[in-house]
Amino acid sequence: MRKEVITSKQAISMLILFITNGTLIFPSGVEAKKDIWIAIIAAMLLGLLFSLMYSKLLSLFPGEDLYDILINLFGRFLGKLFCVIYIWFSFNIAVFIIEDFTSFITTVTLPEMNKFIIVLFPTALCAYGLKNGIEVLGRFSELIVSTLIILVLLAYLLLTPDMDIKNLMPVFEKGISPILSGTFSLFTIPFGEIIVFTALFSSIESKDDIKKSYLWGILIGGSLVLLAKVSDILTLGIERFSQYYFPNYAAVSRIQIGEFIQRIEIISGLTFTIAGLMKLCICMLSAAKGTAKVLNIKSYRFIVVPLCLLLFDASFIFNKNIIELTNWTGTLWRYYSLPFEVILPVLIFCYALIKVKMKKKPKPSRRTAKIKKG
Amino acid sequence: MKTYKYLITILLIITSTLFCSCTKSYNEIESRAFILGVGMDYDTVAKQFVISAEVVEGRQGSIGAGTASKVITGRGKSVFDAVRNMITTYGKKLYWGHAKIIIINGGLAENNIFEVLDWVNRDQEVRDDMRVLFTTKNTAKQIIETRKDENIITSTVIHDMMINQGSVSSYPKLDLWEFLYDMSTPGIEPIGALIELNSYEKGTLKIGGTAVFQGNKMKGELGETQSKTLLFIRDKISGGLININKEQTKVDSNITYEIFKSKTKIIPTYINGSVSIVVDVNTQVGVAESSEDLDFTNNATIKKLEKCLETELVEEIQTLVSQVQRQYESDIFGFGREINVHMPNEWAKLKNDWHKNFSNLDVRANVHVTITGSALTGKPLRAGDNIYEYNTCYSILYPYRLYGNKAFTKKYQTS
Repeated sequence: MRKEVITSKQAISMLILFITNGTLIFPSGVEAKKDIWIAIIAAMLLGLLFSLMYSKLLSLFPGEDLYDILINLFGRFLGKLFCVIYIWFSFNIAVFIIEDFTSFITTVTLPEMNKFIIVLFPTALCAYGLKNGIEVLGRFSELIVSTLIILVLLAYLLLTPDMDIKNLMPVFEKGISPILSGTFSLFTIPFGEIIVFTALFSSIESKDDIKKSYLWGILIGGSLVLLAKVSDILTLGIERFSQYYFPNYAAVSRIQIGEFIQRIEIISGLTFTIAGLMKLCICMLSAAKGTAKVLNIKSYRFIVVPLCLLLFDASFIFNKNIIELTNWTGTLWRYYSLPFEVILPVLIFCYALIKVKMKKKPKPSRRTAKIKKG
Repeated sequence: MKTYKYLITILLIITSTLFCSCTKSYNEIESRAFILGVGMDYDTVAKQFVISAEVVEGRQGSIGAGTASKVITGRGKSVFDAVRNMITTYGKKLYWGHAKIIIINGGLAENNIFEVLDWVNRDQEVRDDMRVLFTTKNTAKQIIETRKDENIITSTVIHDMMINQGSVSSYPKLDLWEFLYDMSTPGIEPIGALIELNSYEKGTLKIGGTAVFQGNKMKGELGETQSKTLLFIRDKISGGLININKEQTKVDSNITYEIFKSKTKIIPTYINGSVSIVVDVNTQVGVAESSEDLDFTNNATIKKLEKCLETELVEEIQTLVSQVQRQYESDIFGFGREINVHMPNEWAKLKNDWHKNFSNLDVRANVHVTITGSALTGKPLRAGDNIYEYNTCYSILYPYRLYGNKAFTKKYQTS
């Protein structure tokens, strides 16, 4: 079978969509209060650091994704155990995106809508996208990302008359600990999750492109998040910002230029939905690839539909409503995701470095390469 | 193959559009009643909320198509209960997306404004760019039922009054979100516009004055002139008139100024070692009307007028601030917020007992007025040699103006 290849531009757009999705619309990082911009920058820097690590890891084993590397490093049994852990993590993020979708649509736009319908459409689209493979996803995100950036910039440009700089002052009002807390939560929600991309970025053509895509993706995505959060707080004030479930939606609904340009908060919903769909596809692709590897299946396409059906079911089981969802993502997720996003990656990276250094002469990926081909 | 693909695409678009509309949230326009304005009262005897909503519906008839509005009322144990109970009398479900104004009874506001605003803030259909108004002299129901004839939609009239507030400035223009922002932000307290029935003309309304809040409770009212001063301090003034009486001016003339542009800075500083506030107003006005003939091209006159207006404004600001400090202990000017922004360390000390600290705050005003013009005429009307001819013409229109005029009496006494 032909190897699927994505360009670095497509990879960057995928990363931008991945990062901007939920972070734009949910009040994540609100712990840092008025200093949220410092927290975002800090989290972005941390994300850059981790992305350097991931790109190094991928370049140590050229042409292999996360699951190959895991099996390669830790052997069949332990490697597959780690694979299962990361399949679970990817799947978990995917479920939360579906949760976000349903909670957003049921609370904001269509309160009387059946949850079944809301879940059905993104899941079906996701299955369709995955069946077509990463190339299609890449092309789709390249096409859609410009729309998203233009819409976000336009919304905040129109919002400038309502902004008040006093809402961000004074800096360092509550000291350093809220900022650290905000950084922590912002790192775990969009920036730490880029571990998922290690399963995908092996499709990027050259080694240098991996690093480049990671860095640019995080920089652009992070700046969008920064812009959005700062504008939201400048418009709403931190007290009102923290009261809402969807502060971004509330902020954009303030836009009123004359009596003519108004009620365009659908921009907020649109960006969320587009980016959310992409993030869902990315996470599910990672999960599907991993499952295929663990079960020794040639092509992951075979496993896509069952996984999507599982996702469909899981979205009804995991969280019951938006209150549970915000409780989980706001307080517990950061600790829960820590092993997946920080501890295990660092461990794997160190182990990989040592192992590569020890057997410098022979090629490290004989055995798994066979599995992959076989 | 190509036609096949083409057909599939078309089919997809058609089916997707069909699916878009056929949701459960689908509504016919006739099945919903569109609310334009809402008034909220509390019936203390029955212990019920009384919500009166102005509903607008399209009308077709032999006379011509148009819109007509009617007021419907609902009662209930909570605001939402009352809103839902409207169905039991009116039949249709209400649509809140177009609601423009919300009028809240003063009694309700004095008790706990939060009872009312929570639902408005929480509900997904109600938008928070409604204008908030308060009424103390009448009930909200009376206000919303007032109309001169049946073609008038009261809510739109009130909405227009609020939109054109900029050229009157005798009441604050507040969206609901601004009110809620003031309520939730430390160091600033909410205000609201007051509305009442116009006692001079039946069937009309009058907006004027400000309701003063402390947290979620209404504390009192400010008059129209005071409201203007309040807007000066809050830097929300964009127009309006200032009347100066003859007694206050040194040039012996009643003068009306129009405010063109105004910028206020609230500067927290240390005076004598304690935190004080300097209200720095920079305003541009024009002479709009003068009861006596003055030469506005004369620089000395202009300087004198500016000086006099400055002292007048300083006095007004200081009087208002000390009155609010004494009477309401409510920081409606946002001094606390400014201290928070510019002196975070001081604010940490002051914020715990801010109401008390606010009433002891030393506030000074510093006003700078520039008179930028005097509309179309600069030279006095009656100057020069034509004074008698002019006066005789003028006397036809305004005969009373001639009495007390020295030239006039002189001329007619001699003849």
